[in-house]
Amino acid sequence: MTEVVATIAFWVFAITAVVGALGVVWAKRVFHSAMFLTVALGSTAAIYVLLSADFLAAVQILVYTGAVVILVLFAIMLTPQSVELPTFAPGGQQLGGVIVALALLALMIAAITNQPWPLAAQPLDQPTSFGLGQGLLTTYLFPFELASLVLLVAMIGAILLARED
Amino acid sequence: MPGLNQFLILGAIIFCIGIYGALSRRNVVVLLMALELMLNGVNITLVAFNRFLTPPAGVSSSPFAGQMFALFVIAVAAAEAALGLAIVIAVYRVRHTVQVDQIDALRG
Amino acid sequence: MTIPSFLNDLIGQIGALLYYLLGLVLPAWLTVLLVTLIGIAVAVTFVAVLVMSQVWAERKVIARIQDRVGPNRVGPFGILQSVADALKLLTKEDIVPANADRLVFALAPLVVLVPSLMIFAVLPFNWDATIARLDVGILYVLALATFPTIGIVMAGWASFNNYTLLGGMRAAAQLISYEVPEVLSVMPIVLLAGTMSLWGIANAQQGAWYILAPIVGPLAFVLFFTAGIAEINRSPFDLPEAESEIIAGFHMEYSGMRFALFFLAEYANAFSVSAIAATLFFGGWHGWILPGYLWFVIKTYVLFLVMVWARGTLPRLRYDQLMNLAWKIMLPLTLVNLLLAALLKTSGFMESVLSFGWLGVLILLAINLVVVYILYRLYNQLFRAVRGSAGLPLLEATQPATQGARP
Repeated sequence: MTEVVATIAFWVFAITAVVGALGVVWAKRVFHSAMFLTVALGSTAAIYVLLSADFLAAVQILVYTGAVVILVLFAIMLTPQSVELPTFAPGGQQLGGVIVALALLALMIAAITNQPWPLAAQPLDQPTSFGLGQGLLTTYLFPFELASLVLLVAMIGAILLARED
Repeated sequence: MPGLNQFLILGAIIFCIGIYGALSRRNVVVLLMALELMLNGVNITLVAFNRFLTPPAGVSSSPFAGQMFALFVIAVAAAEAALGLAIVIAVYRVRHTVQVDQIDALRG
Repeated sequence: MTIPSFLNDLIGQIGALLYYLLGLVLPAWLTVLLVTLIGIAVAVTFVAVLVMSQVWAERKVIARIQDRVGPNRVGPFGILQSVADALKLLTKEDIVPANADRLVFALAPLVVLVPSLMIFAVLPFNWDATIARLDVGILYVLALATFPTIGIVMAGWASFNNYTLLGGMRAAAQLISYEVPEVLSVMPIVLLAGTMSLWGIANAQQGAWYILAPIVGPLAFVLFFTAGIAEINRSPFDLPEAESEIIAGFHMEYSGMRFALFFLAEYANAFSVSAIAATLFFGGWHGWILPGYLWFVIKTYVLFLVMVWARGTLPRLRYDQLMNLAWKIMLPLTLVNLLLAALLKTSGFMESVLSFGWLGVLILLAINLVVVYILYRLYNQLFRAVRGSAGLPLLEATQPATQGARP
């Protein structure tokens, strides 16, 4: 029964993620792009739940839809543009973009399907919070401290850049 | 439950949609959103690898290496989105536009 | 005197009975699906009925605080007032502004309401009555608490109105400012319990409630409760939606059933925040004589009445006072609290005191009362000193109306 539910859930959320992503790229108004981005990021969180990454799914919602999307919305509000301006690149560049994206997709799908992945005997399906916490404070302590430094620098930089003077 | 390939192909599709978006939109904010999409595609790939592949061998690694990587990607992506949008706001104050093709030359 | 376990485990027993009965006629997967759906339906109905009782309780209590009676015409003691309000809202004309973005306008109340309802899935009503015993329960709740911000910005933007847009942006700034203290103030409790699962945290409070933890408990409770009230846009933090400020802010253009959804979301949120506080700090379902789920509802309701009390008593905070409070006062306090909690956990102080049983609980209570009293006296001294010497108040809200006047 869980197999059936998992497969249905995967297809539902994969389709909403792709629809959301396409909406970000194709929406005429920037606000709608931000709404589609929320849909895409929320569907990604659901995919993480399917992959048993419970902590990561909660963090994805907390950070991406709870902070980054609101940041994007603030930026949209603070940079109003008249709606008549062209939002898409000229036709030639768009065609080039489509070709590049499709070529890259074909290359990646070919690489994925032809690669003999070293699959584990049992997929890793255990609660992750404890393991992640332990790893962050023992094996990955240095990247953890560096990431906090990166966030500090980003905070100070963003405040300085966006100031009125 | 779909296998590894399905998740990897989903990640690849979202990544390529992000590239298409970055190449075909003029608005800088939409460009940054497409960048977030690309990072999300990569994250899906990492977490899928974490679940399906044999854990990496060696003393200095944990069975959750993929999710750890994805966690750091999320943190750095948030920092980069904040800085990028701050730059967009600063540029808008001077140039009063967020179209990429109108911000492409230094003044004078 | 204890009640028979049959009464205590009533909800769990009914669930098990349903499983058994349906399992006789249906395949396994359909049984699980149906029982889960029935559980969800029961929870949502419970929320709706609860919200009606909350609205009634709030209106009566605030009325008494303001020296009047409150609704007393519709039904005995005005109990059916909520029903009358619901009927009125249902029959109102659904007005959508002419230039509004229809899809975003329609979706905004849902984005605000659905996360509030999703939180009810992880609340531990009893030791065996949780819909979903998540391992990352509290993180799930905090993540969902950040979602309505997007709905508020959507509502402000889609109404095609300068004032709603301003109201929406101010609301978003307030909500994201209070997210950080809210998340950080919960961390000491997670540290003390050793698990993020709400059921686990409530279970770990068998000996003593976490509000009795010396210094850490009451401080974390005050910080979480304040941040929670700010997150759900209730007084004294209801600047975004107050009737006298920017004409009701982000939901000005909403009428009828759409407004009812915002209204429902606010009270459902109030219940969730009270329920989470009851689980984290007051032991969830632990209590004497009465069944666990009754204790849970009682504790939540008492905390909700504290919220109503705050609404009736405290004046609305100004925008800069609000931001000041979040960033300059609450955030440093949460970080200090986390440090103290780590000290408490590693020293094992609570476990050693609780080994005395009932006496240990009383000792913890006494320690907390003494510490609170000392801090209160210190704050008064500091306040008098700072205000006396340079004339600068600690919080701008306390600036005297006439500068330099001395009684």
